[in-house]
Amino acid sequence: MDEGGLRWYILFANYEQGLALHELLTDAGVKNRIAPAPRAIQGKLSCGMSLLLEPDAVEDARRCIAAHQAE
Amino acid sequence: MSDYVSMWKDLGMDLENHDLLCQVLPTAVGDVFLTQENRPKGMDFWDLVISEVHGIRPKELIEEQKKGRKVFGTFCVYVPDEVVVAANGIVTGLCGGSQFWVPGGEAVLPKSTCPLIKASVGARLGRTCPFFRIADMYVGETTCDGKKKAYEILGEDVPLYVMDVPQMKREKDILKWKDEIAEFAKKVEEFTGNTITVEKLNEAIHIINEKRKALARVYNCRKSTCLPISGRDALLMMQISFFDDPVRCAQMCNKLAGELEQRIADGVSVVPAGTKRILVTGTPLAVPNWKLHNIIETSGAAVVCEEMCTGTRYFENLVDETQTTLDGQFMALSQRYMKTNCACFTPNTGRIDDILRMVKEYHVDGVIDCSLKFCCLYDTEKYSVSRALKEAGVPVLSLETDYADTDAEQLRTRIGAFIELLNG
Repeated sequence: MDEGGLRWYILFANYEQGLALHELLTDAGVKNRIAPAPRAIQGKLSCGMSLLLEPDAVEDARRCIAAHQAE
Repeated sequence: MSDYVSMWKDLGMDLENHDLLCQVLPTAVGDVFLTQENRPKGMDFWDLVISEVHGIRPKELIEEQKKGRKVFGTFCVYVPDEVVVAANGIVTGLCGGSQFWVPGGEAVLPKSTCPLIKASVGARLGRTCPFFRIADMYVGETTCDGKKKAYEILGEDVPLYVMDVPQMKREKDILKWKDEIAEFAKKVEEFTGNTITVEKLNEAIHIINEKRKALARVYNCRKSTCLPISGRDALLMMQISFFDDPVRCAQMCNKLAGELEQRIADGVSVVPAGTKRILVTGTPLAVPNWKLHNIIETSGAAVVCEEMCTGTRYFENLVDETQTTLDGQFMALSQRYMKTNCACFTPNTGRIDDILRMVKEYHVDGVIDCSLKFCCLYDTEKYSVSRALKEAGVPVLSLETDYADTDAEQLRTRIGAFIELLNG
């Protein structure tokens, strides 16, 4: 999940959204894991749960989100 | 936006210090769990819970309190959850598993107290854990000296009821524990305002038995030589089962077990064939204490069983569901709970029998007997455990550690050498 120390997270307003996208991405074959969101942004920008992506899955994730009209 | 800050503030938590604790969780979870490949899909649930460990469940508990329910915090698997559930109460396990809380405990306890006790006291007095703030009443027990005296200090800060656990397991001790359970039930009724009837207690016994069966079903899968789940993941599931809703816990564990059973049928293992199988025994591993499992499993072995409170002792043996009087039910509870083989009892040969049995059932190559520093009971019992395992021809490594990471490399060296020995 690291590329030169960089990690790719999808952040959510609440865990229900996170779980919903996790299912969509998994069904679409986009590798992702449920992970704690980095603490620095929890509360301000995100709930505690995030999805961690492989670097090469980021574009596939974007396409999946767009295809399902997820915001 | 799921912002739990206002909830934590309303609980009277020390937000600044709590934030320091929260900062380390993502890295710890990442290092221990997210570095694993091919984890069961069913672990999604526990990944979610640990990601929001101070959010989702505390919020649920507070919502239930608004409906008039009482939350009981417990520190020992001898405390019968069934009694609380029968009074429409909620049980949450409170044992502290992080070094973060230890200094807070050391402010009032001797340094020569086990870290689990120090962390539990520190979590409360430091106001850095929502579970410790939410619980309406704590339930302590006279299992070890450290706990007995720590409860006196904790009891000045929160309503606390102490159950007097027997020291031995004679017939009169089982009767004594039955009476303790009956007294506890009276206290729970008085505190909740709800009467415990035969029907409600029967229902509660059934709920907790179903949870036990579900946990056992997951553990059964770990007996397979095709290992479908890592020890780290099984430990996380077990730790969270101490504070999750029991019905949901049973549901999620059964779902996970179904997936693991299918993995076994399909020949899907999380470790290569020939990986050495380790049984871990000793003092409990409270969340988020993953140190030992992580070292073992990143040193080329797999943990297939935990003979401890955060392991088989939590779910082995069911409570008899056929009793038709409260007295009969209390006796059934006592008979089940008194089968738990903790080192606080003397003699405790039952624990050695359990370990030897599990070595066979789980196809174990070696045993690691690990106690927390300053735990006299489990440290002393290492002698008998080691002797029995050596007589049975089972390699054993005895360790002592605490919650800090300062000894991690030393442990890794010793565990690595032990695994090399197993590999021949």
